[in-house]
Order: sequence, then structure tokens, then C-alpha cells
Amino acid sequence: MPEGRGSRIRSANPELRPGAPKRPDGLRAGADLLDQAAAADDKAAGRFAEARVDSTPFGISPQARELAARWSAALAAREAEARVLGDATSDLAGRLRMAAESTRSTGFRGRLAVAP
Amino acid sequence: MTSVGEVFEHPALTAAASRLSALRAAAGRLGVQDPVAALRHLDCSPASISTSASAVDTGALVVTSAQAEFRAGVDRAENGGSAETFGTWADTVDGQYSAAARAAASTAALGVRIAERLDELAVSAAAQVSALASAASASVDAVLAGDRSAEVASEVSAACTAVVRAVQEKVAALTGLAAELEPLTTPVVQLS
Repeated sequence: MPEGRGSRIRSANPELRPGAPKRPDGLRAGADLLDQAAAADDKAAGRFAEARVDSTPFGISPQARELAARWSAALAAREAEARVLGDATSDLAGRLRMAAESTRSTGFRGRLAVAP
Repeated sequence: MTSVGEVFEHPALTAAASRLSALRAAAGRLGVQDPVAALRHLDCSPASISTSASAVDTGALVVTSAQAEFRAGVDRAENGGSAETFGTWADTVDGQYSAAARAAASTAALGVRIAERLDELAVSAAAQVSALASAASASVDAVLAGDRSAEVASEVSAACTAVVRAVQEKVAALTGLAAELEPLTTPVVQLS
């Protein structure tokens, strides 16, 4: 998979740039998909939490305990990452909904000066 | 062997402990290091670690599918006229998805390798100590029959020391695995 999602921000084609006339339905549909992604992030965090094991399977030697401690730290790091992604994704979904709402309530069809 | 053997998490070590039972008894008579106790330092459950690594792998796949949904959502939003700043933020979060997916896949792969390596260490140690016990069996039998001559006592003692050393060498190999794991112990994605 290529790095990055191929943002349209720098596209030379104005039709493909964000800032095109706002369509609240499109913003809401985007927000719905982001909510699904956030739910998947929570699910991933749950899987990483389920992966936890105590130190016993690694052994009782100091070296084994150190290995177990690092495995535990790695699992905690993966879980934290998934939760950060979930929060960031939910935040973006919320911003899209706010933008959709403000477009609907004001009848604004141009570009908002502030994100999203 | 009629006595109830010691049970270890790793079956190869349970079998090895059974083969060391006579050496252990002789060591007890002579007051030297218990070779079966030494094996405890290498006991492990690679299957439990494999299960853990498998759960991490599942989590990694879920992160990848979450990223696909994230990208689809961002596309819809951009088609719906989201602001440029939204696109910039989305690019940042997308990069974080990629980094998190890579870290999770790496963690899962290393977990699999740790389980395999622990298994190898236990199996090879079991074979090694069984051979040591077998090589000393004549002296072990002599000690158990009441012989306390320097020659047989020395051979039994040397076999026990060799078992302890073999276990220590295997245990030392765990340090390298811990070093490999270290870079994965901190989150690659942080709250900004």
C-alpha cells in the first residue's frame, strides 16, 4: 500500500479539492464512516488488551521476567495507540458533523473559514 | 521411572526432569546443586505466548481495516466539501494509522519469534541435560549404591554443574530478545 492516503489538498484539479461547495449529506456520511473507523479502533484496543499475559509463560529467571515486562509494555503501547487513533478519529467525525450542521442551519454554501 | 515426576509448563522439560531424577537423587546424597531445580529457571509456556501474539496479530489487522474505513470517510467528507484544514488533520491521523499498524504487525511477528525461541531453548536444553545425565549414569548409580569415592562424587558433581551452566547459557539468550522488543515498548502514536 502506498504511503499516505493521496490527499486531495494539493490537487491541481479544483473539482477534487476540499473547499468545493458544501454538501451536508456528504459531510455526515463521512462522519458516519469515521465513527465506524473509531469503533474499529476500540475493537483493536480490546484485542491488544486481550493479548495480555502474566510473566509465568516466559519463565522465572530475571532475564525472562525482563522479557515478560517488555512484552507487557509493548502490548500496552499498542493498546494506547489504538485508543489515540479512536479519539482522533472521533474528534474528526464530530467536527464534520458540526460543519454539516452549520451549513444546514445557515444555508451557507461556500467555504467555511475555519476547519473542517 | 516409578516415582511421580516433576511437572513443568514445557513438556520437554518435564521429560528431561524425569531423566534427571537419578542424578538429582545422587546430588542430594552428595549435597551438590539440584539439577532439576536448575531446569525451573528455563521453564516456559511458548503456547501461551503464541496465543498472545496471535491476539496482537488480530488487533493489527483490525487497525488496518480501521484505516481503510477512515480513508473512505475522509474521501466522502472531502467530496462533501470539507475544509482544507480537515484534509491536513486527516493526513496527520492517516500517517498515525500507518505507524500504528506497522508497530502492531512488528509486535505480533516478534511475539511469534519469542515463542519459537523459548521453545527451541527448552527443547535443546532438555536434550543437552539428558545427555549429561546419561553420560554420568555409572557414577550416579555408584553413588546411589553407597559409593562415596572421590572419582564418582566428582563426576556426579561435575554433571550437576554442567546442567546448571547449560541452563544459564540458554537463559542468557533471552536478553537478546528483550533488546529486540525494547523499541516496541513505547507508543509510536501519542496524543498531540
